[in-house]
Amino acid sequence: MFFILSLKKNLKLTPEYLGKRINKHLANLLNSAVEGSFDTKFGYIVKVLKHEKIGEGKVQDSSGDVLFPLLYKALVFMPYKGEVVDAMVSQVMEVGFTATLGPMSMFVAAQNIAADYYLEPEARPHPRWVNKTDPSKTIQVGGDVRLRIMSVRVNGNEMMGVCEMSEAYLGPITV
Amino acid sequence: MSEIPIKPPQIPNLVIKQITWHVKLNEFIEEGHDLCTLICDVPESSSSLLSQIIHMPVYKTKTFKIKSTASGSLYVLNSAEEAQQTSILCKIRQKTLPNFSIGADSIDKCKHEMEFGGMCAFCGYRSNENEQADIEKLHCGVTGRNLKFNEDLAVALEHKKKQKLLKEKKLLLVLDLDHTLLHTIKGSSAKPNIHQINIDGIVFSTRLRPHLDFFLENLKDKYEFFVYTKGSRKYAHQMMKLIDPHKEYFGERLISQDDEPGESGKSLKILLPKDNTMVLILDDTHEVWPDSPNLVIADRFWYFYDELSDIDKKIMGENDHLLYFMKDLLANIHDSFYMQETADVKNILKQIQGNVLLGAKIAFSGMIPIDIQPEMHPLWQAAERYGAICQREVTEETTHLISDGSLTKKFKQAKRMNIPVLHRTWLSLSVSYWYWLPESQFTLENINNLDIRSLLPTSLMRQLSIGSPVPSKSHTSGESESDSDSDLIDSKSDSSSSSNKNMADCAREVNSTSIDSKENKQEKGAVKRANASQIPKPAKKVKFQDNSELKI
Ligand SMILES: [Mg+2]
Ligand SMILES: [Zn+2]
Repeated sequence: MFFILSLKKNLKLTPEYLGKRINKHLANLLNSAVEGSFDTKFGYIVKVLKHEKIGEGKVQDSSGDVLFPLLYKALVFMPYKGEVVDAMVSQVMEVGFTATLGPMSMFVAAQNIAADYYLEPEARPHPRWVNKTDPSKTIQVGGDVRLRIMSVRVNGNEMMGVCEMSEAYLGPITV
Repeated sequence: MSEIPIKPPQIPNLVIKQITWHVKLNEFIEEGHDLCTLICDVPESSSSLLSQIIHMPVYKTKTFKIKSTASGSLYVLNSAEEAQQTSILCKIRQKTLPNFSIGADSIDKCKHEMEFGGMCAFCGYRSNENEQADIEKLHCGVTGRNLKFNEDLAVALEHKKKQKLLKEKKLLLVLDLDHTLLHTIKGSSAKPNIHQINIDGIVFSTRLRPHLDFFLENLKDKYEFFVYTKGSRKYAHQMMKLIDPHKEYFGERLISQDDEPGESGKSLKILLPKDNTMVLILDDTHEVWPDSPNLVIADRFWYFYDELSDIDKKIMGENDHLLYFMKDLLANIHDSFYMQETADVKNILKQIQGNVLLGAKIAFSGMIPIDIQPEMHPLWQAAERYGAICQREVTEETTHLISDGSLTKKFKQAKRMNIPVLHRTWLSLSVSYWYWLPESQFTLENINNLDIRSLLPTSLMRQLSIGSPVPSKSHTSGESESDSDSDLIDSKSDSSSSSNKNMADCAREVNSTSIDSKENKQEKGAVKRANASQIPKPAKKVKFQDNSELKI
């Protein structure tokens, strides 16, 4: 789900930028530093919405750099356990399939796919999972699928989720 | 998850003669579904008159129809022999709906046999970063990214992958990005044929290595490609968009630094946990692959680099042809793998390497500093690894003198004995191309006119010349001959799509020349000195007919 959160970030500025345009410069620096980054606690920072406050800068003893605390509001993507999400299938294999949702890559194990799906390993161009009773329902690369998140984790520059697709209203989405 | 074995009828001394399966592996079946028909020999009751007379059990052939006793997916289907030995016809993996609320209970029940990004793929349990996982999980990257398995599962998946490759007659090829398939620098450049990309606000310029499309297109039926880079995933993704915009060659098969943070080297174990008999690596940096006999070292590709010597300009950058020759090498390895019974690419690689310069007896003049052991010099060692014999002195048997042109004793000797005196580029390039290059262009007299493009088939050369004109000296009478050849192919392949036509032509042309046989090489080494005013003609006449004679 998406949230608007108030967040804080400390930014270090080298002395050459301590001039008239310092506010603008700090704003640019903040945007490029946090937009598209992952935070283990808050998730994926999509966009800085508002710069709320630039705190008092502190000069660093050894270098002359100045450290500014910045408060800002940002749009944050933070999936959580139990959430139902729509994603795009990226790879189908015999142990399950993977799907992506924006910056998050997700995995659904074969054991967590509803029991009436079976694997067609020889399907071209990629293997796919097909529903036994309704063969038009397939999980194939590039298709959309509705999943429930079981667990989420941020590893370095990536957000990962383990999902399941075994309840009645989960599965391929046909528009 | 539980596994239900389906057993043959419980009759003592039953002999299974034939199984006809009505289902497929991995198929989902429901309870009561027809599985197979068994033809068995069943001993008749011992009281039968005949068995009493001959004092032996008498068998009668019977047919059984086996139905499933459970619902789930089939994951083992046995043959008649296997079923006889194990008393199991097949196994069904029962599917149970997972308990969504993950309480302590369900975690205890789940064995966490498979992991995705540090979470159990079955129940979502997050192993604590600080606490060491109870059992070390293994990568099996051929299955999928970020997945890890317990050993049994990893080995089983690896085995399946191998079976699939054997069936498709393919091998795995692990490719590095930087300096192997492309060259990227920070910032923009005015050089031709480059791509400019933007990653997090920073501009990069990339040049794909010449012949990359040709390489991928011609090897795609023989190899399953993986990219394995120490660059970040973001960067690698951008590069993949340039190399393979339609994901037809690589799909999602990409391993980047983000997949193994903190790891400075590369290891095949991220792809295959145990078995490296069907995988090759092409990488410019051998240091990241400690002791890997699967590695083919690619000469480094430099494009955005202007301080090149005159000779280097002729063989590097725009004139880099490594991938063209690597295509030949890899195709050959593939073909000999599938010609042998129990093959291992590591042995084939070694064998081919030792044949590249087999028959050459090489002496050096002015190349090796006086204060080091000649045997320790990189050129000397490379030549011997590729099958040549290196000599400290020029002898009757010497076939090549690699010289810097200074008038040494060895130089004069070689001239007197009509031994070809070559620039070191001949040796270093033959070694990096895994190919005994024709000597004619590499003599000290000709080296300044070296045109490495003339070593390529004409049709490919013409394709490359679009955009940058081929030096006029390549347009010789030799070309008209192969012109008519390719016209012939063109007229035959009207039905093929025009976009692939040029590629296909090249492929055909190139495939017609196979790697040199051993005899050929030895013959070549023993070129008669009587004729030595002429440089020995290249053994690969078929391939080089465009240029070799013309250039002398
Ligand atoms: Mg590299
Ligand atoms: Zn688990």
